[in-house]
Formats: sequence, structure tokens, C-alpha cells
Amino acid sequence: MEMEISEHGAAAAKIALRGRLDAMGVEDIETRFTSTAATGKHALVDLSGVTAITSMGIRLLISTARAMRHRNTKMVLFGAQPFVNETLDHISLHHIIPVLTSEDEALALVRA
Amino acid sequence: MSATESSYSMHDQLTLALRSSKAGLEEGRRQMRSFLEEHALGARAIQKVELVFEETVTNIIQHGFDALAEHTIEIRITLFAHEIEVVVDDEGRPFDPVAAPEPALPSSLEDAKVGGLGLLLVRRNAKHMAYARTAGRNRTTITIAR
Repeated sequence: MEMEISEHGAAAAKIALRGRLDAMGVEDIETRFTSTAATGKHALVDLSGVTAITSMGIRLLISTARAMRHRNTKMVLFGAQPFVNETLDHISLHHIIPVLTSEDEALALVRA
Repeated sequence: MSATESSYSMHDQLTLALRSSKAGLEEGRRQMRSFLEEHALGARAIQKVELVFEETVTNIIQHGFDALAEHTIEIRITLFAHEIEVVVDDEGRPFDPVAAPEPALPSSLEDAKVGGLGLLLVRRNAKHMAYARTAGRNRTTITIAR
């Protein structure tokens, strides 16, 4: 799995993921993902390049979002492909982490 | 010996013998995907089978065995006209995924439990599930719509 980080102003970072966010994918990105989310910025996680997500990937998102909340920062997910979106929906992830369609919506939410 | 051994015992059936490791899981998933693509299954059906396969095998690897020693997990995938059958055989501790209680959905970040999500995803993608414990082995049969 690949991960690309870009700045979104002083308050937010965009984390673009590409590939399968499964057990192997988590192993590939976990250290960089959690350390990026620990920088004190909001995280806009671009899922448009994620072709599959499993419970291991969802665990990483939940545990990182929880740690960010303790630092008063937010994680927002956006751009999920249909089957990834359906998988997130199966566990009602949107009840605890915002799952949005576009980057603009994600940015507006963290700026609100 | 590779992490996974496979054979095509029928035109529309794939059997895999996976090592109970991440490497075995990944190699098995790739072989399974090739098999499903060769049989022209739709992308959505392939995604469902992959998810069910990965969650089921991961659960066995993580919770099925006491020791770190590797075990073999046997998988048989059969393509029928309207459904795909995934049969998973393992010698791990007894676990009935059909009778296991439904995990609670997370209501807040603080309360969110990360355990049980895999089983929930298997159930949501399965058309039917069955379980049997025979001669010290678990057999889980999962049917997925094509």
C-alpha cells in the first residue's frame, strides 16, 4: 500500500492512500500514518485510491481517529470507492468518523 | 515449500492449503483472485469473496491457535451458477461464527470496540453460513451471491 502526504494549509494534512488497506496494507503504512496524524493537524484521508478495506484497516482508522480526538484534532475520510464505502457502511463507521464524498466537503468540515 | 499450495481439482473449483501466516494469507488471496478473474466473475463478486476470505483466515490466524507454530488452513472455492461457496477447514480451537453473538456497532469513538468487526463484515457479505466441528477440525462454509 502507498501513502502520500501533502499539506492543506497550517491546520490540516491530506493523507492519500493507494492500494489495499488490509493486514498487509496496514503493516506498510501504520507507522507513518499514525505519526502523521499525531502532528497536531487535522487529517483529511483520501480513500479514492483504496481498492479494498478490511477490519484491520478499519481498526487503524478508528484507533488513529480516537488518538486524534484526544489531541483535539479531527480525522475525516473522503472519496471512497463504492465497495469500500459499502464496507464502511456495514459497520456504520460514519457514526464515529465523518465519511464524505469530496475533498472540499472534508476541508469544510475540519475548518468549521 | 511455498506459503500456499493450490490445485484446480475441477474446472470451477480451487483448493488452497495455506500456511497460517500473513505471507500465506496474501499468497492465497492472490491465487484466489487469479482464479476468480480467469472465470470472469464480476468485480463486486470478487471483492466480496476476497473480503470474506481475508476476514475468515485472519481470524483463524489470530485466534485459532495457541502456539506460534504454523498450521495449515485448507480452503475450497467452488463456483456455482448463482453463487460462490467458500469452505474453510482448520485445526484451530473451536469457533462457531454462526452462533457467535453479533458485535455491537460503534456509537462513539471512545466506546468503539475494534474486535468482532471481521465477523460482522463476513456476515454482511454472506448469503448463507454454516459451521461444523468434526474430528477436531472447524469447517466453515460461506455462500456468496455471484
